[in-house]
Amino acid sequence: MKRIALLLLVAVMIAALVGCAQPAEQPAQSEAPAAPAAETKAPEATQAPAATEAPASEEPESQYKYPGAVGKKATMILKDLTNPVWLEAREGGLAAAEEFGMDLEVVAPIESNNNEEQIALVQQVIAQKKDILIMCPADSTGIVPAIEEVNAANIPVINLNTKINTDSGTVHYETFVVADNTICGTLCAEELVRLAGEEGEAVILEGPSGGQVTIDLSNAAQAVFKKYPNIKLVDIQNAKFDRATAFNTTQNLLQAHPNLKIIFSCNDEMALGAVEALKEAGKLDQVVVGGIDGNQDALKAIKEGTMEVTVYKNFWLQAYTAVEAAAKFLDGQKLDEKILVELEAVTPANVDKYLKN
Amino acid sequence: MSKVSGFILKQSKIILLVVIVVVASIFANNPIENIFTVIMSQATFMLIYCLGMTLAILTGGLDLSVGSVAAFSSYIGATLIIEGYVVPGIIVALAIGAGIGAINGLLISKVKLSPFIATYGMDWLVRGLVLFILAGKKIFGFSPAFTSISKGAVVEFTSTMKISNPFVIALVIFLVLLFLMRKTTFGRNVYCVGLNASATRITGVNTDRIITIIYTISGLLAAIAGLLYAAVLDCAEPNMGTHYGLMAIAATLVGGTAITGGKGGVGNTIIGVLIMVFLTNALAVLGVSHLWQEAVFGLVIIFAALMEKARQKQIALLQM
Repeated sequence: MKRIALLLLVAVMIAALVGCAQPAEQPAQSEAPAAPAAETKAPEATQAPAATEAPASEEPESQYKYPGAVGKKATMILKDLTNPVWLEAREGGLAAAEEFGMDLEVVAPIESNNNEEQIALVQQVIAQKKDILIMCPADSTGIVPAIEEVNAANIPVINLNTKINTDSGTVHYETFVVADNTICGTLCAEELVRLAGEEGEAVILEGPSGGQVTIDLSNAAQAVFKKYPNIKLVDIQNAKFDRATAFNTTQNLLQAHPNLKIIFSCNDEMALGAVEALKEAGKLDQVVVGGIDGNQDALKAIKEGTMEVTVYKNFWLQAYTAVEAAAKFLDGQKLDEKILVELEAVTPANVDKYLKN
Repeated sequence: MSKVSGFILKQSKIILLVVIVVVASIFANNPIENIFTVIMSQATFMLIYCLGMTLAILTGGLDLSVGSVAAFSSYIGATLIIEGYVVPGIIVALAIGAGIGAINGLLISKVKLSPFIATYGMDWLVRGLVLFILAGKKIFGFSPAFTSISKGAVVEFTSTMKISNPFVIALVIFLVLLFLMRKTTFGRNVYCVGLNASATRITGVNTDRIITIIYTISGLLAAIAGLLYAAVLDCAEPNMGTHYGLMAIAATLVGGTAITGGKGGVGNTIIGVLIMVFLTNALAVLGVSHLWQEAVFGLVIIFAALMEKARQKQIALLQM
């Protein structure tokens, strides 16, 4: 019995390796992921839902806006595929790929924001000889060695959402598509300060350390708080962009700072966790909560009044713009160093505009 | 060894816990409220899946799949609960948890896979199932009928100080397991399996059945924990619980259950869980920079483990 089980395990592993080695050319147009991929326990498993476009042979190339990009193969690496904002990004990217005739694969690490897994995914891109990489790093500095390899393999890189750290001078990308996080953080913090009557104690909930997003947002919020003499920043805590962690952290924070008035959260998930903790402690009226991202759950909370503000980073548009930039590049066009995607603060006043029902 | 140091060593974990709680209480705004919150809202959830791990460790094994089982079972249940089928959703979640646990148990007892390999592989498999097949979107916006399971209370002194529903659930689970482990033949046999599985089998005890039942319970408890978390956060997320396995092992070992099996028990794990949650609480209340928190946390865990080792050594010395 033991031997049969061992053989079965080995067979499954071999099947997994073979399955992973094949290029993700699946004609499926639907978003339904391929079931066999789930059987693998290979740590570098790519996300199966890679809807690709039928090769350009079916349409005359002149139909597409960027003829040079048609039929080219791209991979978009995101931070994870469970947070709703990245699922939106995936849709935006795939929509753009379909529009421009590109063959796009969207992947992310199994464990959210895992740098090692992202490095493995980057190496796959090189091994598969893709034409272009769209990269959203979980760790701006940690991803640098992998990007060096991509540069060396002459595969162009479009940087999406979170900046790759180019301080070392050893890596470069063609453009950086971003909803500027400093602007996001400032918009959100200013609104929170306004709602708090420009006075009171504030805390910042950050995401995992090392992410440029968290650093930019946190710095922006800190800069805003510094401007107002009656606003006191009493604590900065790391809640890992995770709702459950923020729930516990906020409970603990309320004990340390019972007169808290402002919670600035670097993403919506943590803000929602904080809201739950405030509900339990009966302090929802006392504290104003702001998040960043603009995910549907947060928008609902804003409509209900449990959360006060978020900044809609339009992940769909970010990814779309990044893929379009990739298409432009492959078509031979020059790109600006930075492409800013516009964003807006969402409050109860304008939340209906963004709510999808 | 002097009497005082002997006593301190013997009660080392309790003393450690008391010290941590006292420190947290000094700096907390409302110490009583703080203690209530930590116990009712943080420790209870964690205790449930840690108890499952304790059972597995008692048999000399390990259940590394608790995190993904919690996520998977609660997620599948959530797909029903969100449509209004609360009770069926809960039953489905519990069935899935127990089912996966049973598979683990069979892999370990019948197929003779090492518990580490079996549950580690299962962890990947189940996590993959949730993320890939279900396309991993979060499910949120449950009805109060469901969320009140976690948010409601049996007795409310004030809105923050209450005997919460999860506390009662955890208490009942704990008492049942305590009775099972200490007062039944089954429980005694579990300890025997942990100490020496082959000898136990030779005496005629059906060790395969014991192991399978233990892992089934562990899976069931993971499902319960997953559901409770989903209810309190009003959100079922597929990447919940990625760190549950290691936290549960830490809590169990800090509590005093031996990793090799056969020694310790569910009572020890309560202390272990309390130490871990109050430690996190104390660090946050103290305002320790979160950059230091993980390091401090690790240090205390190691310290607690060392104290435990010294205690075991002292007991062994006394028995010679």
